[in-house]
Amino acid sequence: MLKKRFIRQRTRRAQKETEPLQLNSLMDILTIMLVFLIMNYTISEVELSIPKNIKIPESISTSYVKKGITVQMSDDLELWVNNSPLLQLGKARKWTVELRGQLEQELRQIRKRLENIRMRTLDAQDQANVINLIMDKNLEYTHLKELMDISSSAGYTEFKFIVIEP
Amino acid sequence: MYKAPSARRRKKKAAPLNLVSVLDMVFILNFFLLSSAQFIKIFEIGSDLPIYQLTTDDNPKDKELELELDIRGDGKILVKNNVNQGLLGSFSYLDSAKLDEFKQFIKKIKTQYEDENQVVVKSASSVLYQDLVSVLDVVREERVEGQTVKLFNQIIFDGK
Repeated sequence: MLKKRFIRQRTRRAQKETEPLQLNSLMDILTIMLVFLIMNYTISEVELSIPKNIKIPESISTSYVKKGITVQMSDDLELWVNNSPLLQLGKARKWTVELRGQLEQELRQIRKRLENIRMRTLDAQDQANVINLIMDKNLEYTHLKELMDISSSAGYTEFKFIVIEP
Repeated sequence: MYKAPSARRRKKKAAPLNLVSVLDMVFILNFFLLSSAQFIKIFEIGSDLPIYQLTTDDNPKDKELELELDIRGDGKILVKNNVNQGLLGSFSYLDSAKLDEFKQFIKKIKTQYEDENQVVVKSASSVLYQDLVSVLDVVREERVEGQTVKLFNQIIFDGK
C-alpha cells in the first residue's frame, strides 16, 4: 500500500514542470561587458602592431590613425618597415650612408608598389605619400629628423607621429 | 448560497521573460567586440605639410606673423616671429608649470592672429621625442569642455 503511494507520488513529482534556468545574473554581466566594450571600441581603420620594446609617447591628440607605411624604431635603434625588421644602427648610434641608402631604397620600392596598386584600383585611398612613424619616446630628435629626411627623399610628404592617450 | 470562485485562485503565474534570444545576441556581440577591441587607444599627430617647406605666400609682406618655435637642447623654447625676426618669448618645456605658461602665451598669440595656423618647428638634435610631442600638443590644440579648439595645427619641420 505504502509502496504504491510512493510510486504514484514519484510519477507526480516527475510530471511537475522543471524550473526555467535563471539567466538574469548572466544577462547582467554580459550587458555590462557589452557596454564596456562598446565604450572602448575604436573606429580607427588601421590596426597597428607595436613592438614590445617601443614605448610610444603620450599625447592629447584625438585624430585616428590613417592608412600609410609604418616605420617603427625602438630605443635600441632597431628599425622595422611595415612590421618587418630592416636594419639596426650600430653602437655609434649614427646613420651611415649605407643605412640611409638601404632605408630609402626600401621605402621607394614600397611607394612604387602602392602607386601601381592605386593606378589599377578604382577609389583606392592614396596612402603612397603617408608615413606613420612609431618611435620610442626616449629617442632623440636627430633620429626623427633622419627618418623624415630619408622618407622625403623617397617621395613621401606626410608624416604622422603615432601616439597614445595619457 | 452560491459563492463565486475567487479570481485570485484563477490567477495564473506570469510566465518568466524569455531572455534566451537576447542572451544569444549579447553573447555574440561580446565575442565580436572582444576580438576587435583595442585596449590601448592609438592616435596620430599629423604634419600635413612637407618637411623643409617654408611658408611661400605670394605676398609675404602682407603677413604679420610667421610663428617659429626653436626647441633647444637646454630645455628652452624660443618663440619667434619670422616676419620681423623678433623674439616673442622664452619658456621651459621641462617643467609642466612652465609649459602651462607657454600654452597661455600661444593662446594669446592665437587670439591676435586668428587666421594664422602654421608653425615652423626647429629642434635641437638632443631633444627627446616625448618632449617634442608635449610641445606640439601645446601648440596644436586645446581642449575646452571636451571640445578641441585648434591653435597652430599646421606643423612644418625646419630641416636646416
